[in-house]
Amino acid sequence: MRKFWCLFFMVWPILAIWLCWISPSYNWWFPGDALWKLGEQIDDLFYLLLIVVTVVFIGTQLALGYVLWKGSEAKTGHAWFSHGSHNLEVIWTILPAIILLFISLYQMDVLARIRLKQEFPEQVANDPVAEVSARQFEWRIRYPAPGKKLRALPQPDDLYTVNDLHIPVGKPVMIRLRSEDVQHSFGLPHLRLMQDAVPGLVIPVWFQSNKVGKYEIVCKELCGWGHYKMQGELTVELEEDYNAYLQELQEKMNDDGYSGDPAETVALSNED
Amino acid sequence: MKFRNILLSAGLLCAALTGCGEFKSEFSLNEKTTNLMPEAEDVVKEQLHEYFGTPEDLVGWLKFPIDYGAEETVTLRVKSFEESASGKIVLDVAADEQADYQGGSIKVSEEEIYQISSHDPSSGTVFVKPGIEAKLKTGDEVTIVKRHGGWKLKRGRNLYMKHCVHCHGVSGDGEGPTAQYLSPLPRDYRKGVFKFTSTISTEKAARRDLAQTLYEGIQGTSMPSFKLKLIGDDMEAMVGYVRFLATRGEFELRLDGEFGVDYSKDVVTRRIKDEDEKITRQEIIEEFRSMIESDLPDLVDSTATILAEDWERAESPDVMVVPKKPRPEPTPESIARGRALYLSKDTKCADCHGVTGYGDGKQTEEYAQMPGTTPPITYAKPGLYDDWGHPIKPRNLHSGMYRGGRRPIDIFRRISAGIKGTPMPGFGTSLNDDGKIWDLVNYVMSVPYENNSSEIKHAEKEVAEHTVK
Amino acid sequence: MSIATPETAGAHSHEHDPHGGHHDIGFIRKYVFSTDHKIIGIQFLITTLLMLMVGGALALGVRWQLAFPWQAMPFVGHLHVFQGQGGIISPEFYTMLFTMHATVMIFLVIIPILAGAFGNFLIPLQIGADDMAFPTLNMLSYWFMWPAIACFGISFFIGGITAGPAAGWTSYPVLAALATAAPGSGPAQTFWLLAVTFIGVSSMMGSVNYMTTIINMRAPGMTLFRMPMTIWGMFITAILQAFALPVLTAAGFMVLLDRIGGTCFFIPAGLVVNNADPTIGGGQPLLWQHLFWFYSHPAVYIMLLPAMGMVSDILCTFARKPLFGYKPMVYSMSAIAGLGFIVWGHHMFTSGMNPALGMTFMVSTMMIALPSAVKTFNWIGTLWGGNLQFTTPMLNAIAFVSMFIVGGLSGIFMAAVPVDLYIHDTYFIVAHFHYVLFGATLFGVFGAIHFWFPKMFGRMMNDTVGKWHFFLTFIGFNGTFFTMHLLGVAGMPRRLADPYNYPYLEHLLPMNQFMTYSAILMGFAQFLLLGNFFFSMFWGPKCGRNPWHANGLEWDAPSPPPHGNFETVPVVYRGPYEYSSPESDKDYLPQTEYIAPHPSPA
Repeated sequence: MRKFWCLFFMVWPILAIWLCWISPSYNWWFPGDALWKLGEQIDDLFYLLLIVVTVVFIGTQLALGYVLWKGSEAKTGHAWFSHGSHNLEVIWTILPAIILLFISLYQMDVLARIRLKQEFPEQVANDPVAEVSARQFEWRIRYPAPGKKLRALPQPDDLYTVNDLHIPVGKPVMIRLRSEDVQHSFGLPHLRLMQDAVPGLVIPVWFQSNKVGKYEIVCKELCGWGHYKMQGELTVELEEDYNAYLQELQEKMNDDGYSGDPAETVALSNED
Repeated sequence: MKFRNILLSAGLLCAALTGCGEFKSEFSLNEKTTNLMPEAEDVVKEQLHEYFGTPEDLVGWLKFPIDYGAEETVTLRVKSFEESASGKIVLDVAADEQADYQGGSIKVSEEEIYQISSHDPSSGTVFVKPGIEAKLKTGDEVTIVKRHGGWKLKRGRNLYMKHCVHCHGVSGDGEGPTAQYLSPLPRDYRKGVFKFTSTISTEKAARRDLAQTLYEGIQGTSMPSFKLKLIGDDMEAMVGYVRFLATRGEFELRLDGEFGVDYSKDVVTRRIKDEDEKITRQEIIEEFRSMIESDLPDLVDSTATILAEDWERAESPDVMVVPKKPRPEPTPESIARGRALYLSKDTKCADCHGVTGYGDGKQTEEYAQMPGTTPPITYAKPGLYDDWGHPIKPRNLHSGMYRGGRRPIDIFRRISAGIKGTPMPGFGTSLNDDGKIWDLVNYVMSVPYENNSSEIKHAEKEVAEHTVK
Repeated sequence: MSIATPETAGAHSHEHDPHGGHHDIGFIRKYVFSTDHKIIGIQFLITTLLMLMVGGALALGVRWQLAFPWQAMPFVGHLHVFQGQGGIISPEFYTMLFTMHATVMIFLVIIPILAGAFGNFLIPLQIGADDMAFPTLNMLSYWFMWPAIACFGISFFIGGITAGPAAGWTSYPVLAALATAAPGSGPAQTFWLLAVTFIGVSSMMGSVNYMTTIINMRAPGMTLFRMPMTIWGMFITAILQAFALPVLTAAGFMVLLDRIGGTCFFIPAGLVVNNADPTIGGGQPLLWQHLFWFYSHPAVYIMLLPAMGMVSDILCTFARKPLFGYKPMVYSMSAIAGLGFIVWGHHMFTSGMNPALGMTFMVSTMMIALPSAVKTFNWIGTLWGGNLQFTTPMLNAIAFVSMFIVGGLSGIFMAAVPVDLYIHDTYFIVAHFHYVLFGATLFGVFGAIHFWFPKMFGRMMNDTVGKWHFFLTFIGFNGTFFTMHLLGVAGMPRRLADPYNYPYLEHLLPMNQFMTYSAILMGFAQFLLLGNFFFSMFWGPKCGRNPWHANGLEWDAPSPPPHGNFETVPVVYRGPYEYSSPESDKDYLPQTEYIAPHPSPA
């Protein structure tokens, strides 16, 4: 039975590593490649940590397994009477300290480029494409009219949609993120990004997608009973499609239902 | 201790737990139905059950203009059939472009129909349970029922049970478990009244109106947008199911109305007590029974016909609100005209929405009368009430939120057709001039920006003169 | 809570009574409103074990929804209150379930079971005191837990079962501060805050008591560096609690004022929530997060350090070896406590806090991994070359080390801000803190229960049942929580009633079902523990003073110890971990055993 428990404690780390190893092939892993450079760098940092952590995990679990195995062998007489080793303590304090310090300093750069306002790409720093207002339980989006800049206060010619953010591909964009009621969080899993929308604050968030497509916007901060409903969609499209979309949106926002011939004026908003 | 037994029972329990997940729910009855005398209540219950079924077992009443989803079949040839593995059939799916047979069944002959348990579209392999006994040969023709009759209604039901039920309730009565925490309360479909429509003020909502509400959500309420959830057929199926619930509720209400005159609990008690009528409970029941025997089929039929016609008419282009003139530019003049109309006696907008548009008009402080009460009873608290008896506030026009949509046409329709089931009347007939309505629209749409824009500064000044209290 | 004790503690309390002052004081004063630290500890233990089952049941509700969304619940679904919704878990019920699960587990299980149950029971026994410094205060600290339980109960049921507090255990304003924001944010949230305040008062009374007792009432010869690690853990925890808790209590009162007094500490102006009138005021929701985490991050260590101490004791006892690096262990524990006060910002990396501040917190957070690593290495060192005895407490203690490694390592991912931008508020963090709080702390507690049960009741727990309980719990635990790391990497946010609403998460359903089965297994395994506990309390085989041949002072007292604990005041000659000492023929050397100095053999 003693050996059984040693094996028991050794088998589970093996199972755990095996599970992690196979999980990308079962799609239990990142939802696709990151869509922009900083996202990729986040992934790289994740993998760096994963390597460090895996080595430490294997090392410690092996050591644990080893001492258990050795200790489970039937012995007569006393165990090793030792109160520790000063040298070992020094080694296993300094070494992890260096690694941890390195990791935290190594992360700074990516963080600064994503978050610090002075590091924002120049072309977007003062020019948001849209205002995203979170409310229970939807994302309200306000674009400026084509050719205009987004103003802090709503303008009569602003364009509105719900749960549907469009951005041009391959170009940094910045949004103004705010909340109309409680705290929400604007999460873009495919971009490896999230930012809380805090009531009373307007937070600039910049990102970029280098791949055309439709991606989920996720609310990641508990915002009430309907938290799970709060799904939005990020549509990344070519510059011309994006402009056409805004144009179309503008036409829709100005739809007065008149076309001379009443029979043709069935304005169905869901015919995209 | 017998640990094997414990393990075993734990395992069995796990297995049993998964089996308990079936959804069992029932339509509830309207309060008015339960106020009928028990015999009449039973009749209503029976009729509802016969014509609408239960959530588990829906009945599609073809009288109504609802697309329940017709049966869809395709005839295919058998590629191979292994008798030993008698559940696996490989079909030649080249003839069918959309080979998705999940949830369908396979018809070998009229009598032999097998449920398809799983399906691999790429190879055309289907598995059935239980295995097929009939001898199939390569090249035999079989009919695949891709979708059973009523699939659309069922799909609508499934979607409704997932997305809507916790607010709108199983029967569409707006009394789901979450409903009590919402403001405003979720819609009770059973009156067949929907607020935001493109039809004139006397007509019901068209399919496109329900679809628009589902697509855009209702800003400022808890109704979210379902544009990412209801794609393709799903939107139609959902609209169909909402209409199904609305018709069911209205049908029930109308029967209640018919029976309630003579056979509600209150009336029956009064009649028994009444000296002049000299009638016993037994006699009332007999009277009711004979009435049912002679009149019920006609009553049901005529009620359904009226409902079906109402819903059908809402789809017609004739009842749609379409402006006869295009929207004029929101010039300061137009806005000023709109402002004048807003304050005028013809519209009385300011009575509710307030002189400055903050939704604080004098009616919000008056006691409203309950509908259908004689002598009139007023609500206990001052303010406006909708047809469901819930207090409602006139829109604060400064909020920039428009529940029925923010396009000019949406606001035009709100003003022209009113908001159904609420004190907001339609001005389409009374103003009888689309130009005037457009002026009002321009004014209403300018209110949120009264204080912030240089581009409409001129208009702002114009408006400002009126807003000084 | 008194049911258990007459057979056990009481049976021996008259044998030796060196303190003439302890008269027979009647059943109520002796077992209900008792001032005896041992009775109070046992009261805490039984209460928290029952709460553990409540919290577990709530967790199973959460797991049900994640595995079988919108399907009728088994058993409970048939209750009348759920009939209106077809027996399913409604979304607001789901939010309430996970809120109350966390609340119960943190405030009514982990914190009181460590400090309340084991702190009370062990501190006087292990330092050789006859009772706590302030026995009445001690009694009050237990009885202040009951108003808290009552308030949680009221908040649970006040709005009908589905409208309990639903703002998460973190209760972020504005969600928790405005009654309109969530179904449970009405009176339920008020009672929740009151309950947390009561728990705070209870913990505060405990921590003042522990500090005083440990500083002033040690037996002769019990120097600070001869204290067992358990006592160090309790001591540091008490300090943490004393300094961090007032902040939470104050913040809780501020929210209460916001809710019922009309202040706006946390509510900015102009919010329209659920169509109510716009809010006035100019508060700042982030203030709450700072205050809350200023307490709640140290609280994580409050929920861990005592378990670390107890596990050190158990590992030494069953490895028959001295603790590897006693002083480094003490220093690293202190370092964890010190650093614990300057890392709270890592809960707020994505909150809109100044990013430069985020960088500072990242460094301090990374650094807190260091003392944890040192402790882990030392535990492994302790086992190194030992004569291991695989008893139930030992298995649980080894599981503690093994699980703590995972919990510690996964924390590094969250500490790195850029990576945290992705995995923040996903199941990765859920996996992380369950590995620390359940995998580490609770396994430590299971070990401690089996280890000190003989001292509590004078009887042994069944070892076979204990091992089965461990085996099933361990498997169920890893099945449930290891997979959560993968869900987190796949980007599944926590606290979603229906994650499959998002297309990119749809394929995770089967995995969630597997996790739910594991959780059910784990849940039912706890009945083995309860059964074993209550059965052994009355019918377990009797044991002597020192069934494990351990060194600690507590094993010098009778089992169970009478009121007053020791027959004579014990004198301490050495540290608590002198196992396999060459000075003795036995492989253990109790702290009280006097060995005349003799020249060492050349």
